[in-house]
Amino acid sequence: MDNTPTVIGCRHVAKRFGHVEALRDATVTVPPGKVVALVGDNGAGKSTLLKTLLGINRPDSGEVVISDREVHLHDVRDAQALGIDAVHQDLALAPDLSVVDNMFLGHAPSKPGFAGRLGMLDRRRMAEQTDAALQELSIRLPSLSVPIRELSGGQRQAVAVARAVMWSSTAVLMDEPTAALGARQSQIVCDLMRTVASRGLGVLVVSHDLPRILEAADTITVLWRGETALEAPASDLTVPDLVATMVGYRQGAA
Amino acid sequence: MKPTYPRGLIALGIAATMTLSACGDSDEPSSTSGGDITIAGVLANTSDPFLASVQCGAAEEAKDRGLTLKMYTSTAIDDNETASNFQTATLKTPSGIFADPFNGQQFVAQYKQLMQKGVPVVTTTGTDPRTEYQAIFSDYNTAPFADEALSGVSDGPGSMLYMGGAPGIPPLEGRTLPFLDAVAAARPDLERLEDEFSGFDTNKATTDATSIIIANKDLKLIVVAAGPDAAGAAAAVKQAGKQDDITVIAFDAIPPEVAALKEGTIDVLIAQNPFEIGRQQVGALVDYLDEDHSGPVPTDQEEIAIPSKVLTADTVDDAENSDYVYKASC
Amino acid sequence: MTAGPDTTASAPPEAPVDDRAIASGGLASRLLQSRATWVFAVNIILIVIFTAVSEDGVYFSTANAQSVAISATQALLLALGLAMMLGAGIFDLSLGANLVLSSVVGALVIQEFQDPSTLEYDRVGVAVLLGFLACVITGLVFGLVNGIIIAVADVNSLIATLATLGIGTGLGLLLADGSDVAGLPFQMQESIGFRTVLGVPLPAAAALVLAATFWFVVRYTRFGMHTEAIGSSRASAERAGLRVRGHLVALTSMSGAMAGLAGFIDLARFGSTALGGHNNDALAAVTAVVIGGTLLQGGHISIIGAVWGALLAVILQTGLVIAGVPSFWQLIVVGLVLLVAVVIDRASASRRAN
Repeated sequence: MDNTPTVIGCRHVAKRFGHVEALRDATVTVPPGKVVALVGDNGAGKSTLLKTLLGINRPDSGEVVISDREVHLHDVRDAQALGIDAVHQDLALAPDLSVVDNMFLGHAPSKPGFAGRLGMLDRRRMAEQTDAALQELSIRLPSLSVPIRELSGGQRQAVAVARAVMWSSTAVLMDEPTAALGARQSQIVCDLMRTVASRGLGVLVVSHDLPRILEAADTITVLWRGETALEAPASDLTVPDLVATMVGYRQGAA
Repeated sequence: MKPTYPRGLIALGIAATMTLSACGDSDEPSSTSGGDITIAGVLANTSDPFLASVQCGAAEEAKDRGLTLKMYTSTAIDDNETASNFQTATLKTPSGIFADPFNGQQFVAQYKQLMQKGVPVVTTTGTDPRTEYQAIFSDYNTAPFADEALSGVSDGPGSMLYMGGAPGIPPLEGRTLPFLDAVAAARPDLERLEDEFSGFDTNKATTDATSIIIANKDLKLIVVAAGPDAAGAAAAVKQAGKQDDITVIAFDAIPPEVAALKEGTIDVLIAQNPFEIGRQQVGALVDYLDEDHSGPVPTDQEEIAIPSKVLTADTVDDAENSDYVYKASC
Repeated sequence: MTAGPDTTASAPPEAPVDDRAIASGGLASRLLQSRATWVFAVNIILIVIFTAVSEDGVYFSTANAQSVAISATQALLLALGLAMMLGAGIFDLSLGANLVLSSVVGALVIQEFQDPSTLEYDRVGVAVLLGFLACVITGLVFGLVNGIIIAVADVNSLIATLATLGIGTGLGLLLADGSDVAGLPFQMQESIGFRTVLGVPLPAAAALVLAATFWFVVRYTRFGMHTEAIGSSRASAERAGLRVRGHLVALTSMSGAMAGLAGFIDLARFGSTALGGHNNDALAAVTAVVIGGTLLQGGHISIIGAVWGALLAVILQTGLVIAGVPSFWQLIVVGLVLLVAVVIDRASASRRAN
């Protein structure tokens, strides 16, 4: 928490919305190449914390750190410029577009030359890069060109993760990635998280799936009523430990 | 044909504009009988140059006689709007009303009420049985025009087409069917093809007429009941290059028809006299009011039939025919 | 397709393939499944039937092909713009009013060149060119206003265009003084309205060129991809950083310009405006577009389908008239054919889903 290299994190952040203190003293640190899980009961402030790290909210006090430097983010584009990307709960994918088109939504390259000035897409390059990106994450899909709504939930999640990884260079933030998935698909996503981390990016995951996240994460940070109540290596913790901390039995223990 | 937009608002806006505008202008109502006379006019659709011309005639007569004329009109055919216009018109308790709704029987109950109260009602559509004071409309006797109108049709057998606009409009059918009967009698060698109803839509009329022209190489005559349809038929004939082979006889004389007449794509127009109709509507009301009646208004006046006239390219610009050329505005 | 040997040391074991998604087939199978192909087939069947039924097979003639082409032109122009808008998830009821207003403005501009006493035209070429520009620009501005109301003021597109429909119609009537503006130079009909290029009526050729352009844009360009993305999921598009508002305004303006062009075609065909006949244009355009396979809810555009859809209505209408079918039956038959076309597609769609 002190001198660990931090690709993304925050220290003693507080945030209030009207009369509600969403965050009081939140600290989380994500080192490069590690998966950090953020857990907590409903209303603990996980969502707010995520949005603060992404620049959607601005903290009332405390600091946000990206790549070991304190930053002041004004909006999502600032975070994206610093190499941060996120996989939101709703995935933000366009159901009718293909995998390739979705991967490049907002970043689509043009064909070189005159055709490019007409706005023609270089779909060949897009397909090649998509293929490479998916391969690097060991994601296997039956087709890259069908509309994405024809893929299963887990496959769509995988594409959303792959997209975030493709366009981020520092860290990937994930909000409840396994919430809507079955067992097999959740496993695939957790394996993905490890693969992403293994490429050197930091991964911050917000999750309710305690058993699975204990397996997948390196470090667990527990949020209770807007405060960081616990931060410890996953290997030292069990599910009952987490549940107890989440409901407030053990504050500040580490 | 019913548009789907906030019509009420527009109708009110236009009604307000109309009452404020020069048409139906109301300065000092002076009247020969020593009372203030206000006439209300309800017209179905002033985008139709026929009715716009009726309004012009009415306004002219009102001005000459020195009385107040208030108009309540819409810009498209919508029975609901016409009904609300009629309602608004009667709210102001006018001395007399003339009404030209699309659906002639629409206000039978209201006419009865008004007539009971001594407010004379005049219509161009007529009612059956008669409930208004007087009906003033175009003479149905159009059969005598057949000979002159058919003079340009080549001899020998062939086919003819009637484009009826839209079916089920009594005044329209009243004028056109006698003419068609006369045509059939004069030229029995012309086979009458299946009638087409293009719904007053110029584009559709062009397509329909073109299709008929393609399907019937021996087509010699097209009779068209309404203005927009006639414009479409004229365009179809012109596009097919068949001005010399096909005679087009059209009813009414809206500006596009007159232009086509002068160009030669329409051969003959059988035009009503909307200005006279408008004048006589106001005139009939004022004459009654001037006579100092009391009690309910009688319904036994003779109908007044205003004759139509044949217009050709040579005669359309004659001064004596100016009342037969419809205008979109006064 | 993307089996990957892992190259990094701490990588997890290779992920199992979740192969429950349907792989796409080849070109032939995709064609068979597309709605556009179905509508095309229906069109061909109708042409065959009408040719057989008409005397001397006169339905299958150059004259009729030209008639069908030009009759479908305005509907197609409106359908193209509407297809793009539907693809992005917005609606437009005001297209017919736009067409009418644009034609009125154009007609009035042309009339400026008319000598009021002799009714002769001076510098016809200039007059017509300016009239053309007036039509298209009026249409574009109308569309722009729609776009601003929808995208910037964030009004539901159905309501917004319902309102502009009324405003546009009223404005058109006001400017036209209540009725059609007539008496435009006859050269317009000769050189444009009735002109053919290699046998194809000029207005229809223009519409076809535009259709080809739109097809290209939807298939191959970023603009097309963004349009479908916005319709597929507006939130996702915004999240991805697309400038959604600007895009929507661009779409409505384009549609508006097409409506303006369609308005000019009225002038070129009739030498006057045709105020009364465009009340159902927007609805007819939606029908053509949706029958052709563009989704009402957005996310998928079929330009080719819109072309066949626009032709379907005209093929039907002209066929029935040429076959001598009474007017009242025409309405019934048109409704039935539309129903059959849609039912066949629904049946094939549910077969695909099983």
